[in-house]
Amino acid sequence: MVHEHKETPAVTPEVAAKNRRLAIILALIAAAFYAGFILLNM
Amino acid sequence: MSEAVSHHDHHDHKPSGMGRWLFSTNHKDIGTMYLIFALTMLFIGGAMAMVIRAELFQPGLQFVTPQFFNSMTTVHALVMIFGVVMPAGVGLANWMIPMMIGAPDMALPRMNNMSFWILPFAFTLLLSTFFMPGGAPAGGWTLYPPLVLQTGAAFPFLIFAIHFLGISSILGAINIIATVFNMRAPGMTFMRLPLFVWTWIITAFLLIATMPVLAGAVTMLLTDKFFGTSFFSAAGGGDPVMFQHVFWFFGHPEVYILVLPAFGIISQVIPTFSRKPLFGYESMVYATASIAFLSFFVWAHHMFTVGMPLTGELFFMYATMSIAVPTGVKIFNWTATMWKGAMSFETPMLFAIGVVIMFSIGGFSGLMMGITPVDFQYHDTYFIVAHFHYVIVPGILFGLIAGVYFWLPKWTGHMYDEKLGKLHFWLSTISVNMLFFPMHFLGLAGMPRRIPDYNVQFTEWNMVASIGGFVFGLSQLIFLYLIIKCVRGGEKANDQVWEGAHGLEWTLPSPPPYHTFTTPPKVTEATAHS
Repeated sequence: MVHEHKETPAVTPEVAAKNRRLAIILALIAAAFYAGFILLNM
Repeated sequence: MSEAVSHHDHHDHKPSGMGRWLFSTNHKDIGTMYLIFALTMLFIGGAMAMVIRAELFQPGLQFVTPQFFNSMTTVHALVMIFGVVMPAGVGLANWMIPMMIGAPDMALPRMNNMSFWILPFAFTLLLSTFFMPGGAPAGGWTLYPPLVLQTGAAFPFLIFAIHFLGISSILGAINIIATVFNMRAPGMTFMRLPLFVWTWIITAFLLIATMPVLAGAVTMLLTDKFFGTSFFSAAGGGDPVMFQHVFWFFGHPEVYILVLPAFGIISQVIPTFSRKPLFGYESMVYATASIAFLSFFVWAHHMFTVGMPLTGELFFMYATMSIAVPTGVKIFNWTATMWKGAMSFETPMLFAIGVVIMFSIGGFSGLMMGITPVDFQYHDTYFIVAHFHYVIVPGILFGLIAGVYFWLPKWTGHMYDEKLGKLHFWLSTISVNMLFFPMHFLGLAGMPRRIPDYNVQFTEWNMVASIGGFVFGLSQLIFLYLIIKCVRGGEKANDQVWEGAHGLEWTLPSPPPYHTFTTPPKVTEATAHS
């Protein structure tokens, strides 16, 4: 079964939290660029 | 073999059946899916190129209507850029980055699955437009309004496909950045990262900065078409030229998004087969970053003929020229790496040398077009087509192919057929030059791009280009056969595979176990690439 696999067994909860935090920040930057360019053209 | 691998070897279980691929969060499986997807799209986009070259074999209209011809050029470009080069680069990154930095997997494995599976969905949307009233998009991949707004029922499908492709790329980029920033093995400092990893970090930042700009541009097209806005409609107070500015603010960095991973690959291949460390590692890193930085200040060289103020044209001309400096550093460093090296010429090295030489041809014609006054002569001619195809095919595609040959024995555990590999290289190299070099002459003689018919004076070179195109297309079947043959069996590859190979990925068995580096390896100056 696929969900029984732990694909990243060496990743500690702290590292996983760091990964998530960085991903959210980068996604927000991308969203800001998207909205910013549309607003600039208004 | 590292302790990390042996620890996990004896319970290297992997899921089976379709579920392994549909729900995969394993970087190697997802990398494989990206690469298979890119190869499939290469043949779809290649088939469109064959239609184009068949139609252009002689003047007059032979096989297709002008509308369908324009759809071919438009969708060929979208498929090759977003369906071949970008996914192939991400596939190689998925496979190699965790193994190169000593990580067990990508940082965000579920998101990795999602960013891949968006792609087949997006391309189904795009390719389904061929069966819609009004046909597939035919206004060129640059989507300039007002022309693109004349697209029929396909228009919203085109826009949503591009949005999905953008989302997929951004998610992939976020994953790569998080992986390299947070998952490096102890001792793997930034200045010890393999160049392929460096080029991918920089590419990932370019993606995050520019894909939202493309998304914004196409969202504005969508609202102009369906919601009564006038972003790019002169009649409503908007400006169609503004679209070109916004598009190329994405479009020029996009060129480096495509090319930097290929540069990274040949920065791995050339030192291996020269049996020397890469010359000027640090300068390579800084040159890559400089190219990426400068790429944000040159966009308007794609639109010198729209009627910008002279100061603007001069600014963009000089900024464009300045990119030649870091690019020159790279070419110099690759050449210096080979200098007095104990070189051997296996297929990956042949393709890498091909990149250095033929990318430079594309680079030089790029410099010519960057000179504003002469660009007025070249603009929208076949000279442009020659230029960007030299950059993308023997530049970028050859780099990606070099990477596949380089790492295929590591992935499959088998050596590929070297004779077939060399045949693939020589046939591809001869035919790609037959295909694209004559386009310089056609462009200089005034043949416009994106036309299904032409003046008889252009006939001979078009025939040469078409024959080159057909041979190039058929040569890629050798590549396909070679890959299938290598996956199915062959001479066993050892762990290091290549005599001159250095780096963490070569310490793993060939093929590597399903899970690697579950305990991080220790990286020292001696084991690092630099």
